[in-house]
Amino acid sequence: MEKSDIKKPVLIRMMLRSFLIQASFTYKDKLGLGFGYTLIPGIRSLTGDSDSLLNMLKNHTSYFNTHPYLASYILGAVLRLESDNLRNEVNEQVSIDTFKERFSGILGSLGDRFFWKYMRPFSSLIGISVILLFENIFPLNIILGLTLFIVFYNFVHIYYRWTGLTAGFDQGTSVIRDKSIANIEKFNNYLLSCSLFFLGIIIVLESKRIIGFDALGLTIFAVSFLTVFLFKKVLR
Amino acid sequence: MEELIIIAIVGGIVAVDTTAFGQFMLSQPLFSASVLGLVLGDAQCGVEIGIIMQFIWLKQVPAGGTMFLNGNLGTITAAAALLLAKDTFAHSHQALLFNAVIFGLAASYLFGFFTSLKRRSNIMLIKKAGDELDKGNIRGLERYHLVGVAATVISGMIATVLISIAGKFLLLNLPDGYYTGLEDFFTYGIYSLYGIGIGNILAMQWENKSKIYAAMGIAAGLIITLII
Repeated sequence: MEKSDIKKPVLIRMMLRSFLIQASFTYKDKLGLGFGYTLIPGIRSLTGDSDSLLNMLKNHTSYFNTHPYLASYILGAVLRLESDNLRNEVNEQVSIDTFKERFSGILGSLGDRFFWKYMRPFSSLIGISVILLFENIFPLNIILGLTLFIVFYNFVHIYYRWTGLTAGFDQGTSVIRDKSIANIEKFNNYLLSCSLFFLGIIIVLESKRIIGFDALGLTIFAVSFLTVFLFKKVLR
Repeated sequence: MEELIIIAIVGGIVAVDTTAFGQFMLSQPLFSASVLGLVLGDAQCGVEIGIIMQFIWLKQVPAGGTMFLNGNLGTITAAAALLLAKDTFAHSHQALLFNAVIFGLAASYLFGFFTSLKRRSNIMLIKKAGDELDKGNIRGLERYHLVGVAATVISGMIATVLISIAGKFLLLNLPDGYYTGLEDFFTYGIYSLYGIGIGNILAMQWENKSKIYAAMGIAAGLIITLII
């Protein structure tokens, strides 16, 4: 089967299912069942043979763990590998499993840093900054701040879910060298710089808003902030 | 009654968005508490508690198989308890806010335990899904996977309402002497919570090469403050 036989609607259905990849998360199998669940529309379109379909599904519902958004890269690539398998009539299950195992660790680490350590703080700090900066248009400032937070974060989130699936299916195991993955570390640096900038603004605005530059209040705020910062950064 | 229905719906969305479906950040304290405040008629309260909790919980990473405290559900129950109690609360807003936050932090531990239990119970779903697969029933496998989502929503709705009601009861029934005697402590306690939260984020983001940007941000904040 040529890769163009996997139509876009199938990939869209897989992407929609990928939002449920963690629905049955356990500490033992992690995203195992979710991975198989998400793959179903793709492998159904590869073959009408129910035995092949069931065998593929059994292989892809065992232990699997990676970042839930970036799992799309592996989903797309596995679909491509299974498609190649069926065409070549060669059982390459071991190499598919090896690819999944090796790539899932890399994507897990990249995704945790990018989304949890950088994207989520950056998006929420933008939202908080807007809420604090435009208090004079209350409650529109809240709606604006929350909208920016959610829209910015999810634009990037959904971009990676879709890109992962399509790039993974187009490139197979070579997707590990895809530009969208390579750019993640570069984006981390930009996000970090911007987060610290907005955090600086928030420190001043919060000081003014809550404390009104009252000396004791500022002192308590500063002591708490420095104690936690020094404890976590210096003493740990 | 309508308030409890709204709290249940928001609680269900927070529970499911935390991991089971989407992770669209709707469950983040900043968003969920602010929206609850907007819907229940006191956006300012919702935003205040949302910002404090967002600062405190931003450092938490729901990565891999780590067992994490559920700050998202803790926040929504704190916000709900605050919004339910505020009309009949006889003391200062700062006292209510501070104690609601402390309640939310404690509730986060409880919800972390609840999340851990939920994940363990998913083992039963996995087993049933595996049985369906052995029988060649793919629809059955899909159904059991989706049961995980439904169970998360329902348990999240029920737990949020119950814990919120408990929070309201606690906030309104602590001794008057406690609130009046510690009035200043609660006010400065709020400042301290902001400081702790911001210290948390700064520690998480701080890297030597980037500290210039924090300084630039402080400078920009001072300029903005002088202009406005």
